[in-house]
Amino acid sequence: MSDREFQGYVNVTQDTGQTMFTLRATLSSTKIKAAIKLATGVAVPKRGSCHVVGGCALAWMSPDELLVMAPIAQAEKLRVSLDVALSEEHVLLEDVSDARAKFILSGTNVREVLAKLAPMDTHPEKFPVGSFNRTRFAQVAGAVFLEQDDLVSVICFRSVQDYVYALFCDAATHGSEVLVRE
Amino acid sequence: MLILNCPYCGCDKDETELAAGGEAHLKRFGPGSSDQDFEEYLFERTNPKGLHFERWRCAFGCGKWFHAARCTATLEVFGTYKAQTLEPPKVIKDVITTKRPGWSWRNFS
Amino acid sequence: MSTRLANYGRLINRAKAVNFTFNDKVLNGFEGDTLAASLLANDQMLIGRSFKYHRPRGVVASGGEEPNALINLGVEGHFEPNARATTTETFSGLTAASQNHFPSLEFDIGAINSKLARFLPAGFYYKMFIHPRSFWKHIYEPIIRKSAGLGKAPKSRDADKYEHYYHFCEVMIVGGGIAGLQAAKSAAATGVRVLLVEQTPHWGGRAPVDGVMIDGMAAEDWVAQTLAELAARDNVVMRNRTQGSGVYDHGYALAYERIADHTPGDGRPRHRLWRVRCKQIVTATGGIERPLSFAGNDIPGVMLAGAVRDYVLNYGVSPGDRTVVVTNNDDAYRTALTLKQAGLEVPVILDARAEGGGDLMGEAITAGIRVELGRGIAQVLGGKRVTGLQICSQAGEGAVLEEIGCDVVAMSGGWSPVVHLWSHCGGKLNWDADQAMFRPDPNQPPLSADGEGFVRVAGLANGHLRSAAIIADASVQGAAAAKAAGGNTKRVVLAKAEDFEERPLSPVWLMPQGASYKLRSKAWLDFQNDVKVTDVQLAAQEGFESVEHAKRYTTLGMATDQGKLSNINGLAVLSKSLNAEIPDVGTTTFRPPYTPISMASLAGEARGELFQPIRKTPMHDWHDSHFAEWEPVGGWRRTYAYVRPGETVDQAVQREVTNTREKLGLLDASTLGKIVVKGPDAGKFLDMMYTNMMSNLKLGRCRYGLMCSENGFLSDDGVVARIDDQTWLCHTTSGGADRIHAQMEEWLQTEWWDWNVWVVNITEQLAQVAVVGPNARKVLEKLGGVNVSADALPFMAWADEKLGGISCRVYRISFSGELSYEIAIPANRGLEFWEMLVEAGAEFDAMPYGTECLHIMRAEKGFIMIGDETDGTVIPQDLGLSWAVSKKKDDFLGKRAQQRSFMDNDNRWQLVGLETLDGSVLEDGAYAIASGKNANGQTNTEGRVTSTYYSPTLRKGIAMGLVFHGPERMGDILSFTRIGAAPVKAKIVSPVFYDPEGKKPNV
Repeated sequence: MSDREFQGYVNVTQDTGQTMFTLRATLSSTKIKAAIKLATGVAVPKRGSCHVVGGCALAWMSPDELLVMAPIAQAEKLRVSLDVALSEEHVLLEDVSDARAKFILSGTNVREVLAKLAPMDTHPEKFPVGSFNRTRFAQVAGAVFLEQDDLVSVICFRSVQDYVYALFCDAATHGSEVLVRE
Repeated sequence: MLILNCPYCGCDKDETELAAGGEAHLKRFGPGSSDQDFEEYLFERTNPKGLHFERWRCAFGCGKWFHAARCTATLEVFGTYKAQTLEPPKVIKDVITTKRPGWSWRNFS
Repeated sequence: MSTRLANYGRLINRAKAVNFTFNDKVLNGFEGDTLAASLLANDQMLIGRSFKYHRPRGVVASGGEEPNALINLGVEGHFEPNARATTTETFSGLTAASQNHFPSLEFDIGAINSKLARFLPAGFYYKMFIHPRSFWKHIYEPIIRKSAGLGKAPKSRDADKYEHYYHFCEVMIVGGGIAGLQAAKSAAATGVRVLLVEQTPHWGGRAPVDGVMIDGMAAEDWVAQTLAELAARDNVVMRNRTQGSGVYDHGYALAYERIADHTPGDGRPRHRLWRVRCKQIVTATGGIERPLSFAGNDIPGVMLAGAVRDYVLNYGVSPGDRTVVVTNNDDAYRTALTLKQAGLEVPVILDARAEGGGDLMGEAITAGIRVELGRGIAQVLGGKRVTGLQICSQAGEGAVLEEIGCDVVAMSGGWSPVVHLWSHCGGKLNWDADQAMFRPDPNQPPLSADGEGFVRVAGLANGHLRSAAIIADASVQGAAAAKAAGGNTKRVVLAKAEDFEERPLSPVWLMPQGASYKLRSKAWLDFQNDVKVTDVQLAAQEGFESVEHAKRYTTLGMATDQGKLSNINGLAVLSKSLNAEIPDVGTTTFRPPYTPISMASLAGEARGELFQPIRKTPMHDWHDSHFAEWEPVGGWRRTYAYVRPGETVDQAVQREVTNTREKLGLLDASTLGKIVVKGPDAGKFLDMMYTNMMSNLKLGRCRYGLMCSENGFLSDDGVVARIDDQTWLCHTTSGGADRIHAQMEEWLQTEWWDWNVWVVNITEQLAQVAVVGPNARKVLEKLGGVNVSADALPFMAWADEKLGGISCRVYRISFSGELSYEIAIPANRGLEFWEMLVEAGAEFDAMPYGTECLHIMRAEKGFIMIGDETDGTVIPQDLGLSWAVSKKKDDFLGKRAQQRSFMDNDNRWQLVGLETLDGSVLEDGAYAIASGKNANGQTNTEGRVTSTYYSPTLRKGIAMGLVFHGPERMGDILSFTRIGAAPVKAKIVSPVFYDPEGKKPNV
């Protein structure tokens, strides 16, 4: 899968360089949290957010699920260290790198483009940098991570990546600016 | 188009992000139960005008099931709470008592 | 005639002329015109024909309430019927055509209906077309269909772009008149986020036209200053050309932005639908002037008094040289004064009130205008244009006192608050008898999630007719909304407006009040749908006493304007006919949207490629470039068959079956559901989910399993593999993956939340390929890296291996009855692996096959398919699958249900194979005919076909079906129905048609 790129009033690019793991675990357990931190170097995030340290990101998916993301080069090491750190715990770690697609939206109006497709409040006070939200993009499920004020990661299922890419390209088309916050 | 607060995500979710799951607090009857108990478990549902306890799933969000206490006539929401309980928590019951004094729902009051 | 004035026109830019066409005539207007203004400036008063009688129709109003000036707008991909000329901005190149006439607007054959009016009373259609019954389908309906509709239906695909926008704020204010602006100012000062929308391109509403003074400034200046203040705040979003269209539960509202209607082709979306979530809504939607009901009030040239004033002041357009003003209130005097000031003739003001008006009447008299009190119009004269009118006493029956020449009649029956948005979500109304209007009842507002009201109404919409009251109300409502939404209301923003002294209006529902039948039958209530005063009276007389019934019987208010002008007048006539008070009769319910909005805006981005998401497997594009005929399965597209050039679909399917049975077939099975279940309680959990035992499945082995609903019915099936001590991998059907995953989560979260089990759906992580046929092992051995010998990997075993250098999991399972391996690889390498197999398989005659081939092969083997053999009423025991229903387990989903007397019963229809005696293929779903009739006189049945195919392997039709006592009746002959043909005979046989000993896969 080659990386795609669209230049609109917000740019849309595909990022195929990420590995992703789903980690099912009781995140309220301090022991498990410590083990995860030990394995990844990243503290377990609070709900609605994503932590990134040294390229490794932990995103809050639910009270008992994290999405672990890292550059593909770190995949094997990351899996092993998580397996080791959590070997005594009741957890389930599954590679979902191939089950997901990731797109990067960049530009000053990223919040606005998101708001065309997701029923979420993208106001800076309600959706500050570091926020991670599971929602829907038009008709499919997805997740949004606001990395910077002008940089958003969008994650969706692999099978609908063409749809999601086309959605965001359509929403970011020049001429369709809403300019709510000029 | 309702707004319900997902107690797991801790934030308001739009109805289009949720999936409705019918009446809450059903008791499962399995093998060994009487025909009547089993029939009621499978098919009998209350359909009140007014206070109702319902199951909802944060379908496009965290995927978790939660319960909502709300009024089917005015759509007022008295509260939402996690599904891992056999009865509505006290804080929810207290809110309902304030807003609908003398309420009862199935065997709750 | 109507024409452009040399002066006035606050909204137009005279430096910028624009050309447009109306009925192929090139006309010109100015930038800032509405199309209605441009047409009037070109003396085009006649714009269309009414729906039923094809009567000439001209412009009545100047805004969204317009019932008459509807046009076919644009061409081809930009065509839209029933566009309102009063809300269409004129732009260069605009193309408009009038509607509902033949052959031309000026001469219309359909106008004959008008002469037949007394034969076409209210309810005519209901009375006429019911007899004889048989006439409906072939005679009445086709004729009615032909005459239905005003505008033409679009023929081309919509060429424009549309989108949605989710907007969140604390307070939404609908209406950008002085009330909306003041409410916005008041709310914004508290710091909350405010969205202010205005449906027209202009802010300020009617106040600048009415000469209102606020805070010592002319309204126009105050509006400009307020706009600047609001624009400077970063908590305020303002949108003009954006209509607050609908209010829904829990603070949800729709706003309809017409971005590029007036600039087509500029690259912007045409419309944007704002899906707003707010805590509070303030509707400052103003009012609509009511027409008066007098004979001939529908003749082009009869207009609302406020609209006449709008055309003069806003667009510099004079609707006519001589305008008679007829009114029951003071406001219409402003129109007379405006016209007089513009140098136009006002022969007389007819004031239905015997006592006349206040300050404004004094000004009119001072200006030299003749004012007649207690007078009304007996009848307007003219056909396609007003030529004059007859004056009568309002108190009488219409005796003519005087005839007067004029070309415009400016009428005013008072103002009705626009309460639509208040009502959309349940806000109730009170009848204000003094002002003769329905106004919002603040004690019965629409309720939000917290049980409190979430809509407030400000200004004229709230029943305040005078600017001082309007502006004061707006301050209060804006602040109250902001406070309820969490704003800080320490500082209250106030403004003051000044007013003339006005006298109250006197309700006039019929003019003259005792009008004869002849006059009443020419007094129109609904101009678009041709409903007259006599029609409503007839409805009342015939017993349609409920306002909702009368509406539907007469079609009053059912046109595209939804009764914005006719509603209250019709209601008043109805209540008078019923001898009841207006509030007792009540009003019809206002439904969103406020005015029609484009269907495309509702669809938003969901069209063309984005109409619906299509799930694609990693090999999708390969299939596409190899002649795939697609089939939708659970949101996916799967290949039905690879139809080579020159082949029919059937031929392709036959070829694929034969090749797979004899040589080698490859199937993209990536869509199969794959769910990992892990934990100390995973075995116990799976024993609940499946009817058979899964906890005792050995490591490295696979087992076919069934899942039932709690109601006992078979819901899904698939192969389960034991991965390690605590881990199982469950395959589901392609369509069932998400459902079964959700169901597992549901039971774990809501019933057995103390069980230690995790579930992850990894369906999309893996591509899966079935390698099927006698050559299957050969091709895998050629790829190398895995021992796929019968000993190393026996039937129903799996192993983690490498094939051709790619890590994979190989399952030795078969859904075809052949030697078969299913190989799972990471999805990102799915295509690479597939292509490798195709290439390596070439020497073994490998061919890809599709889902139809899969279906035929499984049917030849008697394997059931969820959705074919099951339909939500079938239990495993019906399908000969009792062996997969555990007798040992205490409990599993469906166990209790299957113990019910009608489930645990030999008389249920059961699975058998079926073969026609003549080798033909049975019809899908055909019933086996039994003797006798049932209670409804229908032929009894004793079975039905669930799967039926032509088997290329056996060269005859084969089928499976459910038959009463089927398995005990081997060899019996049954008759099966055929559509449009005589029944066909078929024999009951074993459902396993091919390789009954099962030797083929086990080699």
